[in-house]
Amino acid sequence: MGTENLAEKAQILIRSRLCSPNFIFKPLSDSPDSNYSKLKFIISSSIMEACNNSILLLGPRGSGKVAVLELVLSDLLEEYPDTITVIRLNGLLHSEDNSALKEIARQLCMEHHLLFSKMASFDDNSQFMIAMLRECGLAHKTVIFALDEFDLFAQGKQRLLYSLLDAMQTVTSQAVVVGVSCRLDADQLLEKRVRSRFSHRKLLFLPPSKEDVQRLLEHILSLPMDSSLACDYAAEFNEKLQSILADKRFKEIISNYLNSNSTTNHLLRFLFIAISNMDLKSGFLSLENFKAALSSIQRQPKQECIKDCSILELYILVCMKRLEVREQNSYNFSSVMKEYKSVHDSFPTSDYYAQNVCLRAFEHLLQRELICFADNRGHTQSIEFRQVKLVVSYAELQEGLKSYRSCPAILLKLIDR
Amino acid sequence: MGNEESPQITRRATRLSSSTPVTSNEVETEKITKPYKLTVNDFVFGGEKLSFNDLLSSFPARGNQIRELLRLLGPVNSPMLPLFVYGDPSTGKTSTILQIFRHLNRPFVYASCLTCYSLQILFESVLDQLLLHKKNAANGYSSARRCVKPSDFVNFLRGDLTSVIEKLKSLKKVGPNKSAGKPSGNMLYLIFDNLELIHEWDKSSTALSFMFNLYDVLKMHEVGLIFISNTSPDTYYSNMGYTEHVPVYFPEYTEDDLRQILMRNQPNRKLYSSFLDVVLRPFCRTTRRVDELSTAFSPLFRKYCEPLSDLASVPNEEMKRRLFSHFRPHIAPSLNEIFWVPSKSSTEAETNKDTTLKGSTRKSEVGDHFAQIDFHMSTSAKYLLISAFLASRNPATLDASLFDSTGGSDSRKRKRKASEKSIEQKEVAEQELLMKGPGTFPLERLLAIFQCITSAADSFDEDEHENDDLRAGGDGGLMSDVLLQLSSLCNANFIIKGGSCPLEGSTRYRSTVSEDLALKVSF
Repeated sequence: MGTENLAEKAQILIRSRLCSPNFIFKPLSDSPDSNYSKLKFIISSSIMEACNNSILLLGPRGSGKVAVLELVLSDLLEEYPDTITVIRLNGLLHSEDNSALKEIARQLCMEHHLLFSKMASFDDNSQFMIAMLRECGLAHKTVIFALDEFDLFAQGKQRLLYSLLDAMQTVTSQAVVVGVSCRLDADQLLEKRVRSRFSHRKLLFLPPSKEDVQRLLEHILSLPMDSSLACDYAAEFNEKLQSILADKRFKEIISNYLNSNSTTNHLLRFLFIAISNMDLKSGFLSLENFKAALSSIQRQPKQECIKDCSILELYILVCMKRLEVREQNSYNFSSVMKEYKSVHDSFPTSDYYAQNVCLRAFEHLLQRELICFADNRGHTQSIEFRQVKLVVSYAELQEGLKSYRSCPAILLKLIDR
Repeated sequence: MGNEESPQITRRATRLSSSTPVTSNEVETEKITKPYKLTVNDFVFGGEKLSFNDLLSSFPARGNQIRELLRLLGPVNSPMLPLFVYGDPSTGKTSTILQIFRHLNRPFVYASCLTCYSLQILFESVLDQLLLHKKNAANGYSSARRCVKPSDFVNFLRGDLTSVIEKLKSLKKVGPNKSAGKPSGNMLYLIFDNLELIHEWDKSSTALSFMFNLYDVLKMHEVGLIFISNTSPDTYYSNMGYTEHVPVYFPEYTEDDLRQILMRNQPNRKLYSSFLDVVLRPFCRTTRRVDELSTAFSPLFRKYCEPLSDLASVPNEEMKRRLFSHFRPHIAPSLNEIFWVPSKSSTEAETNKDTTLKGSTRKSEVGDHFAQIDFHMSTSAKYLLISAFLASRNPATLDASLFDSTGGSDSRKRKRKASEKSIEQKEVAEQELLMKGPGTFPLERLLAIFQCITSAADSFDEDEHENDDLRAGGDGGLMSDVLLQLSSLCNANFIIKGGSCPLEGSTRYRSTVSEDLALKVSF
């Protein structure tokens, strides 16, 4: 009972670590040439020298850009209290200029304890923002704009970006604009007048190297000695963990897993599943947990879909494949039915069903997105006559049929031709 | 209470309520039905406590998935990465998750994209549940807050979630002893169901990216997100970079699983098991979905048990063989039906039909099916449908020869021997016909064909019976509500309104009726 309780506490601790980006990215930021230090240097120098600046953080999704930004901001808020205001915008939510300015005004009001009116118009909000920037500049306070999903702000007319960057140049303001995007060409999306006001500083977030991954694993999974957990339990846990980390099979699992997607978030998801698999009775991690996590996170959705199909649906897929092989590139349900009939005529089986049953199976395939419509005329034609195409490839179909339990031999023969 | 209610009755008076006088009885019933006030305890599933073994036994084939979900949800108050549960429809995803939450007794908020058919309704439904706001007559069935944009939703959500979590934490302090209704833990879980329907909304790509990134945007530890979808994760890939979640897969049931599931709650298990021995394997070749199989099996089981006098008896080998031989001719035709809801009148017709056909051998199933059309259509609607079918399937050029009153010009055409080229041309034309489907026709052509058919029918009827009613109604009676019939046929999707022809500017129509249905209607 005691070990279960301890094991539960350890599990909760590690799970909460995995869900908090601050903890994860702290050790990655220790070295002086890491993105953390560079970003911190840029922002703090612009605070101290009272000048404007803009910077872009670029990298694939899940590399920790926002996490590092938040770390830098929290450290700076501690170092320079009362001189920084942070405004956070997200491209998914605030890509429209109206809502963006409303959100900026709302956050500014919250910071400075002013009353925010929801009825303020776009002009009111923009004038308010410019006025606030001027006031903050005169009071030597810096406003930091953190724009997440920057590439979504660069759609349309880019009014918000232009007004922000323009205000930074003309008004006595101290503002830093930090854009975060997963598109590496985000700055190419900017208009000429916006790009000319942009400082073209970019920080690239690369996936962690092998040593970084090793360090990260130890950092996340080792239990601290000085916490509420019993000392000897933590020591034994860490010892077992070290032996797993040093195991060659474990290294193979990790490198195999990171081959597809080597961002940090991907690794964290894997660790989350592994730690959830931990056996609470024994209270320690084992290699089997990691192996089970690997098989449950690496899925082949199309193969699973094919395995879920009934035999009639497989017939329809094979008929469509045969039509494609015959270079009949546009076909619809009626032509598939004709092919189905001809297959049945040449190899009579008991699997010949009426049109409505086949239509139902066809609709199941559409729902599972193994096939899809090739045109957009949804309103003017019924399902039987719209053109369809196969979304699953020949190799996947073949493999799916081979691994299908009790697949009729006729289908295998047909697909091999 | 009565005083409060009466002004509302005058404001939104229906015809019924204003016509009946308010008697003392009604006032009393209004007093009793006081609106139920929601509390924090209503965040859990409620009802009786469900133990782990009960949970496993109520979902016979889902043991692995239940264990996996319980592992991923983790112990109480452990933060969670968002889960993405996917699988075919009717594989038990929603019910399993809800029963798991009943077993764990943890608070959750459930919103389905099926009932909340737009982003605004989805947002407002989630916020209503968080604010413990119930839509009732008192507030005019409106939501607590109006929320259209995702930015407002995130702001409101943060505030409401923090207040709910505070309430949950304070509940703990109030009463340390666990009662059945109190939620356990400080975490709140948001469950979003039927995610694949978002594909059909407007601005679906931004809506989906928003939903998938909701966890990162919220950045709250005490909230767990669970997404349920009928399609696999690769259907959500977008070109904006896809945020992945932890996948949980619900595979389709195997035959043994289906047998276990269908056997539950059956009064006579051995009888049903012998029935399934006969029926399950052939039906599983067409579909493996539980809902479709159970709707197909219930009338079949009744037919299977027909020769039995005592439904509770346990069949032995000899009785099984007898039942099978009686039941066998019914299997093949029922495999070719998808959905048959027996109405009361048709069961009577069945018994009559059986008595008449006892002596004669059964005709082919085709003939029997044609005799019944299971919905009611007026005569003019039937004529209109057939004319639409003819208009769609035949090109306009054939109209003159088909509907010629003399009808004799065709026979004078000499039949030439079909050359090879014309055979090829015919094949190509057939192929094209298959591909294009039914053609479109303007309204005038439909009315012309309709008039031809009805006048021919009228003359036919005149020869047969001297029916005064028909003649009195005559052409005028059938024509007057043709447009009405046309619009009702359009609403029933028998005729689709297509795009308008660019030259003439009139809308064109297209018939969606298959040959079988047209034949049935004409019978």
